[in-house]
Amino acid sequence: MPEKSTGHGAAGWRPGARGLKRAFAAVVGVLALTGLAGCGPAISAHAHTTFLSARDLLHMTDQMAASLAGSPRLAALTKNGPMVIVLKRVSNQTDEILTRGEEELFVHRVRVLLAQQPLLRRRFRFVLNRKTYYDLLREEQIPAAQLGPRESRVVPQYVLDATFYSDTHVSRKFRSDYYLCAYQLVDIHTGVIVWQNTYETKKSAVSGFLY
Amino acid sequence: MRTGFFGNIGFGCGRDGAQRAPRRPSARRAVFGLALLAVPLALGGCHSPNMRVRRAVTLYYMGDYPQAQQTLAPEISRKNKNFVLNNCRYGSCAIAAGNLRDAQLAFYNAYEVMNSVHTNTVGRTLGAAVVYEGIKVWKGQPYERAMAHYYLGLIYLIKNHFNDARAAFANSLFRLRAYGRSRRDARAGHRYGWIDSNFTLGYFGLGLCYQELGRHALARANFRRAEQLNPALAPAVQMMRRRGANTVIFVDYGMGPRPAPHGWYGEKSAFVPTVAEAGPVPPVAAYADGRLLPASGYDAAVDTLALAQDKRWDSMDTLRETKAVIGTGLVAGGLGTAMIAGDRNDGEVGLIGLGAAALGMALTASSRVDVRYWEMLPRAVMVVPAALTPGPHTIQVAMAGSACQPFTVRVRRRGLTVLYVRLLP
Repeated sequence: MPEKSTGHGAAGWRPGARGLKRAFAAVVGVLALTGLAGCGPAISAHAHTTFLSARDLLHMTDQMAASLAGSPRLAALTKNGPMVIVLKRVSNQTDEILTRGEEELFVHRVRVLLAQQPLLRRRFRFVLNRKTYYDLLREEQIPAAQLGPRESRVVPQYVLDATFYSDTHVSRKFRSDYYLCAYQLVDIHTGVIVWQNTYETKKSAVSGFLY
Repeated sequence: MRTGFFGNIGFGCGRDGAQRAPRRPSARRAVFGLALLAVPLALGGCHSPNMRVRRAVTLYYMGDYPQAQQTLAPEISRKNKNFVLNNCRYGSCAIAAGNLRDAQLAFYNAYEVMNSVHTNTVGRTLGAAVVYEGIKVWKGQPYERAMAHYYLGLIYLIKNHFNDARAAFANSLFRLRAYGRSRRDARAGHRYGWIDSNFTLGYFGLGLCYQELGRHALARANFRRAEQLNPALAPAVQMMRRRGANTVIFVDYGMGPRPAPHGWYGEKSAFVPTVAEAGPVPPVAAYADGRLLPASGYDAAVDTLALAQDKRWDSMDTLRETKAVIGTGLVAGGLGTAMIAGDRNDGEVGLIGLGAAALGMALTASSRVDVRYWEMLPRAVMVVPAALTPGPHTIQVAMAGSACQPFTVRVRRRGLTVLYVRLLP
């Protein structure tokens, strides 16, 4: 017959001791699990920055394309014929590093959105910038003589460009970036800004309490 | 019958063990044993640098940068807790080997994670807090983060991508912690606040970028700030601003600080050697076509040993120190309780005391400082501007018995020619 637990000095496992053993095992288990957590894949899928994201790219360029398409002033200017526009990549004045590709992406998506709609395609015509155009001619080995008279070539009338600004505050635990992304369409011959719009966003991030 | 409390633990060491029927090893026991085994493994197995890293560090300090880069290459794509650290190590090797593309990619990877938040998973954060700090994703001490941004800026400078360089240098100038100076400050709750960075290289780099971007007012302001923080930079700044320098040589010299934790359990972070132990940084001598450049001989723009000793550039010890104090208390209290319980023959209380002591030992063991560090960091960075005629020039840089091989560089007709030289002690 098993000996009943009486408190001090009793042989066998008493309920109190068993509870303690379980608690000790639980602590050791938690320690082991948390320790072993350090050996798996490390960087969390929830890691994020205050940089401009793909979502910003989509929102911003959708907004700009809609604004260009809906502008009454541009509608008046394109009444008699399409605007011939050349693109300039983004001028980055933020504290975020934008690669060359990213700087082009932010204006080229606007072009693609406008070019997708047949009605708008008649109003906005996009041409390559001079450097890309001559690089292309060189690559394809097309001599200038084959291009025909200079007067017959399409000459850009407007330039679409964008400048991104930010107000950044950084400490070890906190970072905030307020972005102002300004797009403009400029008449190359007069320098007049015929259309402009901005996209603003503020992002902040606080590190976790511990790490 | 006197039965000590050790008899109650149930590992067959009590007198009653002989009277009981032999127990079968249960699955629960096996799991418990494995868990116990996992604790030291988890504590000790995860933080030591692997052989490949050690080999790369050795190769780097032997001056074989391409081989060191190649050795580290398999490590940089692994998104483990050392992802940032390995990319920084790799970037150092690549830039010293003259491989700007790889160096840029590596430092850009580091830049992205360093500027992220919630980088650690919940399990890893809990593990870092409870078990060992070294299992969290390494983002470096503040001075290491500033240096990583500086290298990224330097690479863009070399490539004459001044806007990107500007962004990188701006990110090296994050705000630092300033401790309250007096006890009164501490009592008033102003234990520490935030102040602007004193990372001279960041301001100097920004000055260079703004000057090249034609934003002269901003260039002046940043150069002035660099001069204020480090008067030794004044001749270099004057040369850049007034004498039309078109070439800048950035020279990395020596070995940076390494962690040497102190305190009972190594819970307090400290770095060695100190500036006093290492001695002053020797002057740099740069030659172009055999002629000593006039801006040679000045002090370092940045001394990483000094940065590491500066409390403003230090990480917080609070959590580790708290763990060490609580752990010590638990060990002392637990063992005391166990001894008293042993005298009184109180097995249950004794067991509680032993449990508390074990928990205390685990806490103190887990209060160790994370000792991972960026081994390739230099002791000092020197800046030598020069006004050279466009075209090829032979450059050589020397410091205190250490010199690089003379190399030929073509100075740009337009823009800024930026060179990077690594000198080993």
